Formats: sequence, C-alpha cells, structure tokens
Amino acid sequence: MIGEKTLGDWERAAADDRDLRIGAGLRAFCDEIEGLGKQLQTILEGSVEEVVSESLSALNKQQTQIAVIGQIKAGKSSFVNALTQMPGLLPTDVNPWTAAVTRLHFGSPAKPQQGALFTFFERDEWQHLAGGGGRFKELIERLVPGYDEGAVRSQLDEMRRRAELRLGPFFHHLFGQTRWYAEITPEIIERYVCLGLPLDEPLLEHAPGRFADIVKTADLFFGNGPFAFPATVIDTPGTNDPLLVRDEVTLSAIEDADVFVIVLTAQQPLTAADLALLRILHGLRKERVIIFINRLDDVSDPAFAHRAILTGVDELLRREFPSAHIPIVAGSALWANAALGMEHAGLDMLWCPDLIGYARNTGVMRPEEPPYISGPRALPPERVSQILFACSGLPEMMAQISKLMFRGLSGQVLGELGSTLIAAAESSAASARDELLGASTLSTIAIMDESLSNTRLSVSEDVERLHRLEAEASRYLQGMDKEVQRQALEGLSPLRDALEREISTFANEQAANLRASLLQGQSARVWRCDVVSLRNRIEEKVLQAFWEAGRRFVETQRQIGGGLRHLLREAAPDLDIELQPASLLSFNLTPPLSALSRPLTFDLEEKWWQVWWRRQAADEKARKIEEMILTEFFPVADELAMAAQNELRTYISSALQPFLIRCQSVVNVVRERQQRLLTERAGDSLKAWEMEERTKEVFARLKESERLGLALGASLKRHGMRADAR
Amino acid sequence: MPGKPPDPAPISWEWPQAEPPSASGLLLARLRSARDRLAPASPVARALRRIETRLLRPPVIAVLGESRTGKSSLAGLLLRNSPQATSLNKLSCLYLAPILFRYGERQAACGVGTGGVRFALKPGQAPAHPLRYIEAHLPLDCLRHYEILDVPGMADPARDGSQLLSAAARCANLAIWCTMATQAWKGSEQRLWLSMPSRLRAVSVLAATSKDSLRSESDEEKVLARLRREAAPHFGSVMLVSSVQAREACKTELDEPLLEGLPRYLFRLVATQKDRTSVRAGRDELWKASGAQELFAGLSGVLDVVQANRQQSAARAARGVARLALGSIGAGNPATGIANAWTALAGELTDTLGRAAVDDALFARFAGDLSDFATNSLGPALRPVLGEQDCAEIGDLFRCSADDLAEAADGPGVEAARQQLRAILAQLQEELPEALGRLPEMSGQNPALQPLSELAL
Repeated sequence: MIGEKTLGDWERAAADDRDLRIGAGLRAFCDEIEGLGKQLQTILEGSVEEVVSESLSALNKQQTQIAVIGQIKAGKSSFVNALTQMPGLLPTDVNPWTAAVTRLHFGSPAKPQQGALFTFFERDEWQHLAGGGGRFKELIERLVPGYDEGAVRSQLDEMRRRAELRLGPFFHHLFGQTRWYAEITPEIIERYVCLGLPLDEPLLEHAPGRFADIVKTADLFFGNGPFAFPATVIDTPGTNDPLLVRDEVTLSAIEDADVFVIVLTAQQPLTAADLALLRILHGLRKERVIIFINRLDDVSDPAFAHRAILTGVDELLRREFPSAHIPIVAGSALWANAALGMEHAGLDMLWCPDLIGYARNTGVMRPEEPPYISGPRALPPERVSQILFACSGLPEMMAQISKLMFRGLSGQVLGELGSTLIAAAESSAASARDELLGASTLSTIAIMDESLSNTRLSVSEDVERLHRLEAEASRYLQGMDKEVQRQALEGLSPLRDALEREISTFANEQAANLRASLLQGQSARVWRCDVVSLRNRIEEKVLQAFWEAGRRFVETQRQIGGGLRHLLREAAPDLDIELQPASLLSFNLTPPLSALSRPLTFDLEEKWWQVWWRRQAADEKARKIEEMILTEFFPVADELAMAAQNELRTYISSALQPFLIRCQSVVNVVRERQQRLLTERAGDSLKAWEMEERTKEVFARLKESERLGLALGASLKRHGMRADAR
Repeated sequence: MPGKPPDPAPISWEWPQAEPPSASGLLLARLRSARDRLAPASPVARALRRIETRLLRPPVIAVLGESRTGKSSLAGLLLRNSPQATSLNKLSCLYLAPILFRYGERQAACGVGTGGVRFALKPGQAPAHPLRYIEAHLPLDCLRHYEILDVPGMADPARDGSQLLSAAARCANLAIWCTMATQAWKGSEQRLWLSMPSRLRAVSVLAATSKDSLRSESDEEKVLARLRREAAPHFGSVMLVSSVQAREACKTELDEPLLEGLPRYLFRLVATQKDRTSVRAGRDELWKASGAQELFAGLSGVLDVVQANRQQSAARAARGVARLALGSIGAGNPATGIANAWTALAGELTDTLGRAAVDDALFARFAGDLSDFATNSLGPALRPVLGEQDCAEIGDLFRCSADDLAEAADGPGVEAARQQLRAILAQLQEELPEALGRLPEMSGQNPALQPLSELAL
C-alpha cells in the first residue's frame, strides 16, 4: 500500500509538530482512558472499584514491541539507529555484522532506564545452533537421511574452534550466564553483538565480536528517547545468511511483536527470500507489517526509480496477499543518520546529484533552493539535515509505526481495558438507577407496610433471596463460562479432522496426478508437488472454522444477558434491570497461522527432491509421495487446530469479564437495599431530608457514570478501537 | 577550466588466442581420420562428428545469479557492450527464457524448443513450441572465443529457479555467478549454487557486481575478504566488477565530469579526489577500477583450462564411441557383437569406478556411453533379427539405466552416483544375457564374450 502523501507533505507535517514522537497517538489515548478511569474511580465502591484500579495499573504496564527484520545487509541496524535517533549506536559494516538479537528498551515500566544486559546461550541451544541448527538442515535430513552429515560436523567443529580461540578453552562455562553494564558504549555493544573478524588467533579482550558466538540476546535500556509510549525496538541478525543460521532464534524473539518493520533494499526489493519471510509473518499478524525499502541511496536516479520500485513491490504484495494492506515506505537510513549526526557519514559523499534530484522531485526541496552545501550559496546546515531527514523516509515510518501501534497487542489491551472501564461505568450508572428506583419503591413500602412483623418477614425473605441470587448468578456464570468454552471448542474440534481430510484428499489427487504423468512416460524427476494450493486451502478452512466459532460465541454471549435477567426476575421480581453489558467486545480476531508458513520438505530445492526420487522404487513413487504429504502436513494441521482453540479460549475468558462486573453490581445493589430495609425497619428510619440528600447524591452518581461511560466510548471510537459504541 | 586532455589510447579488445590451440588442431585431425576409417559404421561416424562439432564450438559461459544482480549488464560487458546484444537481450526478458549468444555472420534470433526444434519468435505472440531458450546470432568477434548464456534471475518469487539452473548447468562450460557487492552472497544463493555440478563450480567465477556502490576501498577489501572466506571454496575465482564503470571506460568520448549531473558510479571516484573540478578519471584508470580488466584476464585463463578439459573429455568420448563401434562392426553374429561391445564398456566402467577420483562429470559421461550403446550398437544390431517389442524392451533397459545414471550425475553426491552405477552394472550384467538369449541364433546358449583391443587414438 503506497501512501497518498508526498515526502514534502510528510516533511511539512513533521515541521508542524516539531516534537512528533513515536506512539504519540497511543499515549494520548492511554492518557485519556487513564483520566476518565481515575474520575470513575472516585465515584465507585467495592469490588467494581477494584476492577477499575486493576485496569488502571495494567494501563501503565503496557509497552509496544517493534521488530525490525530482513535479509542480511538490508540495513536493519542502520534503520534502528535512525528510528531511535542514535546514529552510530548499533555498529554497522559493509559485511553482515549483527550476530545477536538486540532489544532496545525505551522508557519501559519496571525496567532500568540505562544500562546493557547480555545473555549467553544455554549449552543445548548453542549446540543445536552450531550443529547447523537451521530448519533447512533438518528438512534435508528428513527428506534424504544421511546426506551432508560431514558438512554439519565440520560446522560444529569450526564454531567450537572459533569460540575456543576467542574465549579460551573453558568457554562452555559461560553458557547460561548474563553480563550487566551500567553504561552503554558502542564498543561494548560491538564486543557482544557483532560478528567480528574471523581471525585465526586469540582475540584481544576488547575486540569486536569477542562474544558473538555465544551471545543470544542483548538488552539495552534507555529513557523515553523518541518514543511517547514505552517501546522495545528489536534489531535482528539478517535472515538468509549462508553461514550464521539464526533464523529460529530471530523468529522466536519477535513472535510477540506489535509492529513488524521489514527492511528491504531498493536494489533488490522483495526477492523470494523476502517473500518467504513475509509469509511467516503473514501467518502471525498481517495487519502489523510495514515495509521499509532502504538504501535508496544505492540506486541510480532515485527520483525516477523510487516510484517504479514502490509500485513493483506493491503489485507483488497485492498478488501474494490480496487481503492485506501493507504500508510501503521507501527511503534511506543512511540519509537519516547523516541528518541526525552530520559527523557520522561524510556529507560530501552523500550530497550527490541523485539525492538532490530526489529531494526536488519529491517536493522536499523547493526549486529555488540552491543545491550547494559549500561556497557562497550554500544551504544552511539545519536545512541540509532537514532535507536529508525528509528524504530518508523516516518521518513517514515514524507516523506509520505510531499508527500500527494501535493494532498491536498493547493497543488491543488498551482497547480492552477501555471496554472494561466502560462496563464499570455502565454498571455504576445502572446500580444508581436501580437504587433510585428502589428508594422510591422503598418509601412506598414504608407507607403501606404498617405492621412491623410484616416488614421483618419481608426482610428475611429478602435476605434469603439475595443469598439465593448471589449463589445462583455465580453458579450460572461459572456454568456459562464452561458452557461457552465447551461450545466454542466443540465448534473447533471438527477442524482438525476437516483439515486432515483436506490433506488426504490433496495427497490422493497428487498421487493420482503423478501416476498419470508417469504413465505418459514423463520422468518423475521433473514432476513437482505444488503445495501452495494446499496451504491456501488449509488457511481458508481454519479461518472459516474460527470465525464461525467466534460468531457462535457472540450469539451465546447475547443469551447470557437474558439468562441472568431471568434469574434476577425470579429472585427479585420487583427489580427489572438490563443485564446485558452495553460494551460487548466485538469479535475481530484472526487465529495464529504461523504453523502454515513453516518450511517443509516440499519447500526444499529441486536437487534434494531428485535424490529423494532416485531413492524410491519406480512403482512406489506415487504411494511415497502421498505418504510424504500426510507426514509433513498432519502435524501442521494439529498445530493449527490447537492454536485456534487456545486463541479462542483466551479470548472467551476475557470476554466474560463485563458480565461478572455487571452481576457484582446487581448483587451490590440488592445488598444495599437489604441493608437499608433492615436499618429502616429497625425503627431507625431515615428522615425525609436524608432520603432526599441520598437521592440527589445517587442521581449525581448516575449522571456522572453515564457521562464517563459515554466519554470512554467516544474515546475508544475516536481511536478506532470500537465501531459500535451504543 | 583546463584544456581538453589528449584522448586516451583505445582499449584493446584483442583476444589473446586468435586461432584454436594447436593441440585441438591435432586432435581434430585425428578425429577426422578416425571418422574416415569408420565411415561404413555411419551411426558411429555421426557420434564422432558430434564430438568434433562440440569441440569446435567455443565454450559456453553462463551468466547466472538471483534477480537484479547485474547479470545482463555483465553479459553486456562480455558482449563488448554491443548495442545489438542489448536489444536482443530484451527478448530474454520478454519470454523469461535464457538467451544464448553465438557467433553468426548476420544478426538473427530464434527460439529453440525441446528436441532442438528451431522456430521464429514473433513479437506479441506466444512461442510456437515450448521455449527452452532463445538463440541469438551476432557478428561479434568475441563470440568466436566464447558463447554467452544469459539466464533470467533465480530469485524471482514467481518462478522456480532451480530448473532453469540445472538446464543451464547442462550446456555451460563455465559460469559467472553474479551477486550484488553491497549484499553479497546470501544463503539462498549458496543453496542454489551448491546444486550445480562440481566440475562447473571448480572453474566458475563469483562476480560481485556494482562495485561502484561500495563507498571506499576499505569496504571493497572487506567485502572481498568475506567472499574469499565464505564463497571462494565453491568457485574457481572471486572478483569485484562494475559494469557501468567498464562501459563508461569504453565510450569513445568521455563526458566532462561536472559535479552536477555526474553519474553516481563516477561520483565516488571524483568525490574522493582533492581537486574536483579538474579531475577527469582517465579511461584506463576507470577500466582498471571497474574490475573489468581483472575479469577479462581471469576469464581468458579459465577458458584455457576449460578448453583443455573439453579436449580430454572429447578424447575419452571418442575412445568410447570407437570401442562401441568395434563391437558393432565385423561381428557376423549380432549377439556376439553386442556382447563384445558390452564387455568392453562394462570393463571400462568397472575400472573407472575403482579409481579414487571420480566426479559427476564422469557419471554424466557414463550415462552418455550407456545411451550411445543402446542407440548405436544395440538398435542397429537387433532390429533386423528381433521383433519390435523385444527390440524396444532391450533398448529401454539401457535407456532407463542411462536416465537413472544421468539423474545420479545431476545429484549432489558422488558416492550415491557411484552406488547407483554399481547397481546398474550388476543389473545389466544379469539381464543382458537373458535379453540376448531371445535372439534366434543364440537361443539356448550364452553369447561368447571375447576380449577386445582398444582402438588407439
């Protein structure tokens, strides 16, 4: 998805809001919710107040994770330096250089605000890694057992030898350890996270890359930096490295990220390897991806080329992922870093006609501005850095990241907390309404009930009714919780079988297909099993089943309100309260599909399959391929079904929360009424003016609760969290 | 502004070898005389002529790499920046098929389909046959010394590159793998490259293109050092090239390098000079800086090696053919002839198998021998005396074995191929006498297996 705005627009937007910080929108939303929540807190009592104060403290624990991923030499570390506005912090090089996952924490709650923590691999992890670790090795071994063992061994030996050289013969004692530094310097980072030079002699103590072989993650802590909302930026080693296979470590480190920035290069935008990476993320969270096409400075005539690059990538993405709208931004981290700290990159080398042409073409530089950085007509240095920064694409990236932060987990959690607060406000309003109603009924009763014994009877009846109601409501809700879980999971349980049927059918088709082409005299080695269509079919099935289960759940949710109301009517026929929380969460989840993107043996290159074909007897080939499809895809089906169930289960537990709050508030109302009846009937009757005061107070509470509920609803709606605020 | 500097000396395009090397000449003469002697056995003569033609053809250099790695620019450089080549190369993009540039008096291009069918390519129309590659003829002298196969990019997500690659591997004598200097040598490239046969890898060149994108000499050294470390074991040589700089150096007129409007690939050269306005990168210097000089010097050396290898394998193949010919001529009894030829072939195969140093090229040759045996010895001998059904069955026995062996040769492991060949030999040893038993004259008795003397070549 290519933005409508030009770079010039972005630059002007950034100039209008000088200290445009990343996540400012989410911060504003969070502050709004918090302010309203605090007001709400002052008028609430009892267990509902506890819920609100819990929500408020959860609000302040939120932080966003921004993962930066891409192939080697895409310029991920440079981009992170530019985004965090610390040019030169993460070391970069002309060769692949980042070896470890590096997390930069900005203003993280409950974490230090300065320092660096380096974590070494556990022994098992390291051995797995050193053994070639990569998924592809595993797949090759699965497809053609016994192949390439020599290569795996030698890589393990090589890594061990290098680690010994760099860290001494007892390096294995370091496994599982951590190192803490109170000050962060580029040298320290370089020592731990860089690949270093492959010297064949022991390294000096402070040499770059000394610990690279055994460092798993680096955590760097900072203050707020350029972020308005607590954020963790994750820099990762490049994928598609021929030697250092750490894709698995990378993928597990970014699994929970809220925003994924995929860094591509302008010279080779979106290759097959990039698409493979996108497919994996696509399965995770397609709506959280931004593409940054870096290194526009490497392209000749970017003024002309950048449009074509953007359109090309956009077209390819639309073809591959028709339903996703992935923002694409082109730019150059090099330009941004030069703008941020002029001394870091030689400006003389950067300020070339290509850049000037690009700046003019995109509207960043006005036609009348002279293109000189020295001499009598030179541009002022501030203007030069302004131009560089605008051209770098960073302003647009910052805006896009801010926008996507809403869609990430923290945004969702904020939305859910907002919904909980709305439920609390609504319940407060409802209970005030009930009390007002009750108060007027009570006064009528007081007049009519002349005999004290009658009153005593009605009070003890009330007590009994209350106990019954409390017990029944909680039993009912517990039952419903179980019921809903059961229903939802039952709805998903045929999924696994359905997927397996789909896979078996596909395997059958393929085998028949192969038999037919063998009969026609085609050689098996040119026959290829195209599993893309199977993957698509599976994805469709999972989505269908998941959304169907979700739809059913929303329906059941509606029934719960009715059921509770029925209960209440039996227990307290004189109270007619709406028990349906107004703020039911809408169901817009996507099940985790990452299992689908995991590479299988079918994704291996032709040559491995040729070896496989050769190993199968002629008449067995079709049967074997059928078997292979089943053994490869059944675990995937298993995992998908399991993940869908887990996702739904978690969702359901959080979705019943508003009902619990509502129920509690009803019980509170009845309890209060009972209390009042008791005291009143004990002869200590309220004076008329006290009643009046109390009514006024309750009325004020009603108004305030309604106001806060509406304000919260409006805030959520304004930030795109909820479309259907009632 | 200084005066116009003198025109630099023109770059010499002379290829060091004007004539095919004399060793080839000698071999060619011998091949011709052998063919004359064996003229009556026309299939054999045809086989020998094939070998001759192959030896006469210049070696094929395949330019390979992932997409957008500067393959076509490099191919253009190897084609002497000929504008015709550039325009012909657009055909390759249009049909997404490899394009083979060969020498021809007249500029021409046609499509080549399966089985070598040649047909005209009409713009705006789908090719008449399934297109394997495009053959382009150009009157360029350099094409007398090598042919260029430009293969479309291998990392295009829309296509499976490994099939293109293995097809290229079959017809190329050496390859230049292009990788972008600023993002050189990725895992996916390595995986693709390692699927190429080792005989090809050993003589091939890794060219890191866009040398001009690197911002300093120390960066160039760093990249080169990494490539030497990580990729060099899989190549004959590794070098950095800038096709644009090389093209610029070949221009007859060099533009006055004003700072504004200076192409990016010259910018660094100029920006690093102290006195910018007066700098004019000399053509020779630019040629040297582009890495083209080193590339051409390297290629010329590699082509010598390739030529020597081709001579050796031509001699080997010719020996094989001659041996087969011995089996098929002179023996009145077809079964005896076949048995003779088979004994000779099986003997050589078994001998070679026992040698320590075998590679996949050898297996490819064995596969060729087997299928030649089926075509040249078995077919003509059996057809007059056996029914079509029996003939086909016996022929298939060999052709299938040859196919299996070719598969093994394409595969990555020598050991697997060796095992495969052993199995095939054992199977044929067992089944051949049985098959021959069906010949009318031979029923009931085993064919006599006579020792044969080799035809001296």
